[in-house]
Amino acid sequence: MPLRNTPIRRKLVLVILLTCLTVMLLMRGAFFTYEYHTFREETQRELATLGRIVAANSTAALAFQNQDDATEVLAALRAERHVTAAALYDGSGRLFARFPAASADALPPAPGSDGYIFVGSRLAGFEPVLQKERRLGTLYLQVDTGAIMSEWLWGTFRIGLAVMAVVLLVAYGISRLFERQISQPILALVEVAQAVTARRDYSVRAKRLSNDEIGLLTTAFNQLLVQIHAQKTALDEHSIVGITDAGGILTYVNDKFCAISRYPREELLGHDHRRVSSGSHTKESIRDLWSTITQGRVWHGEFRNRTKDGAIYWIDTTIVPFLLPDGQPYEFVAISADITVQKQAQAEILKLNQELEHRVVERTAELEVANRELEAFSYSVSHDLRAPLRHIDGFAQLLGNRLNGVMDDTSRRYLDTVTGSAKRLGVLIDDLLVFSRMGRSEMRRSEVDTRQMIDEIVAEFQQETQGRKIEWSIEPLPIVHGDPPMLRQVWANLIGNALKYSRRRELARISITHRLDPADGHVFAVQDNGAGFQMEYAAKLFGVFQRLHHTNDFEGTGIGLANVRRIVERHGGKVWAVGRPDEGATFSFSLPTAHVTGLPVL
Amino acid sequence: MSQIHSILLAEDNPHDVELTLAALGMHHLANQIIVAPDGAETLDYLYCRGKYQGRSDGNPALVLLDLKMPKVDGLEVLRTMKLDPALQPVPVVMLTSSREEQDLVRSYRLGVNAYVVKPVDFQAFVDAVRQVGIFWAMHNQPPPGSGTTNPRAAQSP
Repeated sequence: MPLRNTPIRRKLVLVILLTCLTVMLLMRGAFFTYEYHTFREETQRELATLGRIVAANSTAALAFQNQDDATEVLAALRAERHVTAAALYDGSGRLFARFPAASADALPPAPGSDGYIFVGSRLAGFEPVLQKERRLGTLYLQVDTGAIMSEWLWGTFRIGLAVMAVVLLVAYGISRLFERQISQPILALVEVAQAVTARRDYSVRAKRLSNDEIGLLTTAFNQLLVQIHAQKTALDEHSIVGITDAGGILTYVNDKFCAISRYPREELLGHDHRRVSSGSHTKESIRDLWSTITQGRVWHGEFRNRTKDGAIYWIDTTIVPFLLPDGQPYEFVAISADITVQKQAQAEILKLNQELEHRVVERTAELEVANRELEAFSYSVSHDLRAPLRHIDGFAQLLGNRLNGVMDDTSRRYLDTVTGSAKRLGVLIDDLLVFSRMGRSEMRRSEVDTRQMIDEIVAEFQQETQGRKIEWSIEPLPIVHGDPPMLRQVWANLIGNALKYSRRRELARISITHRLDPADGHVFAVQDNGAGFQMEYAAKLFGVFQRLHHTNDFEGTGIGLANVRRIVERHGGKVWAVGRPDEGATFSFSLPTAHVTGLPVL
Repeated sequence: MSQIHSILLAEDNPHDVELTLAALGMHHLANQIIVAPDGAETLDYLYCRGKYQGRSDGNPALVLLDLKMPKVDGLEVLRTMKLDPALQPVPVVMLTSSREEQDLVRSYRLGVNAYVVKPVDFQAFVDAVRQVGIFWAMHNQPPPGSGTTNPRAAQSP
């Protein structure tokens, strides 16, 4: 079993035991080295002492040249188990006597310098045999230190082993004691974590058993739980949450899920989503959903579901697959919002729209009927109303012709008033019909050279304005896109008005200007220095039959400007007027530039 | 002086008839005029049927046609005339109060020769009738088969 998979408690025991063992071994090693040296020195010293004793005992034998005595002295060394060889050399260096066990080959042929040295596993050396400062000969001693060493080593090892065993036993006991202290809180933490995962109960807390790092870990873990719990509470507060296993079986539903579906929790858990399905989703869409989430991708969409009591509710759902490390989903979390109200509102809007459309169609039909009636009306006005007028005028004139010469001035004036009024009524009817036609007739747009149109209109007025002093000022004017007869009507009206209301000036000044406005497009203005008007009545200017001057002062039917407005508005533009009494008026209108084909080079 | 050809005036309104005759009379054109008070009688005259059975004075040189008439309206008369090879060459001038675009369009589609809007102003009306009468009844060469006529046709009641 690799070390990282070993439980912490075993690791802990292992660490303590290993530490103890290492310390012990190191200590034993150092101690052994020291003892080894001490042991060698001791052995050397002991041999030297033995050498001096044997040398002292051999003095007489050497002094009297008694070989037997000497051999006896050396034989006494038998008591020393480890002595492997011993010999005596006389003053001239000849071998005098030897330790019986030693063969002559093992002995050095002549004595060396005094002192002991280690040679391999043996310690050997020479000791002088002295009598009152006089050297009689030399003693040779050799011991087998290997045997001594192994004896000593065995003893030391046994003691060391025993100590180590005791120490490790004690250490194991102590470590077991601590191990429980450390692993218990961790195991407790693990237990809580497992409980949280299994029951999705984020309200439980781990008990803090200590104030050490594990205590800190417990606190951090609890804080984590608090946070998760808070977020889950927030999520539950807003969303419908359902969790299924990989097979789509519900393993968790929150309160909102139960509330909206009207199913108690136990009737949902263990079932799949079909429990609440209304059956209104196609097999393809469900297959598409499954294919998305089983591939580990997030799915988003809407569901039309059915409650336990059969009511329909709509939810907007996001399904997030939770994946195993190999990419296989093990759980699907569906978070939904109740959109029933929106859906109902949508349906309501759709219904209203349809109703509205229906009503528009109805109203359009009504309008078409009204329009046809209006057409019929204006037709009969143009035909039937004009006929009696013509008769009034015609017969009044015939009467005038007939009474020519016998009629007095008053009768003539009466008759003139009859014909004058008839004519005026005719003009009124004609204007009204033109106005009505301008609103109804189809627009036929084409390019209109404004300047050319104005020149033609001014020329048409020439006869009317003969003898008048008029100063014209006309700016370069663009080619516009519009219905030529209608635009002609506009210009004729505005220019006609300017001429009419300035006719009492000695010098009439009429200017026609143009500018391009970013919002309104072409803006044209016709300015005169004529009678003008009070601005408070400006709004009335463009109404049908609205006049600011008496017919006696300036003739007119009050239709012209209404016509201008109607035409300009049908072209998508607007009209306005600025004026001051007796200081002239400026009438402006705009035409959107959408149809502009370009300014002429002037 | 050119020969004066007959004019058929189809007009339901007696005042208009009187004014038209007055205008024509001022220019001595009135004795060549046959007046039909509605479309049906206009067609009777043209086809020599009903009260005009047996008349032998040929087609009029000009038909002055009002648009709005009882029984058969002016456009219907115009259509019948222009679809009939015998009547198709007879010039027809609309003399009407209507300026309506659709009336103009329909009249010209049916092949009217001229379209005159009766002015409210009597003087203008007199001028218009005079010009039309002089041009079509005096200067214009009518197609073969048109006859001069005596004022024996039915006057409106």
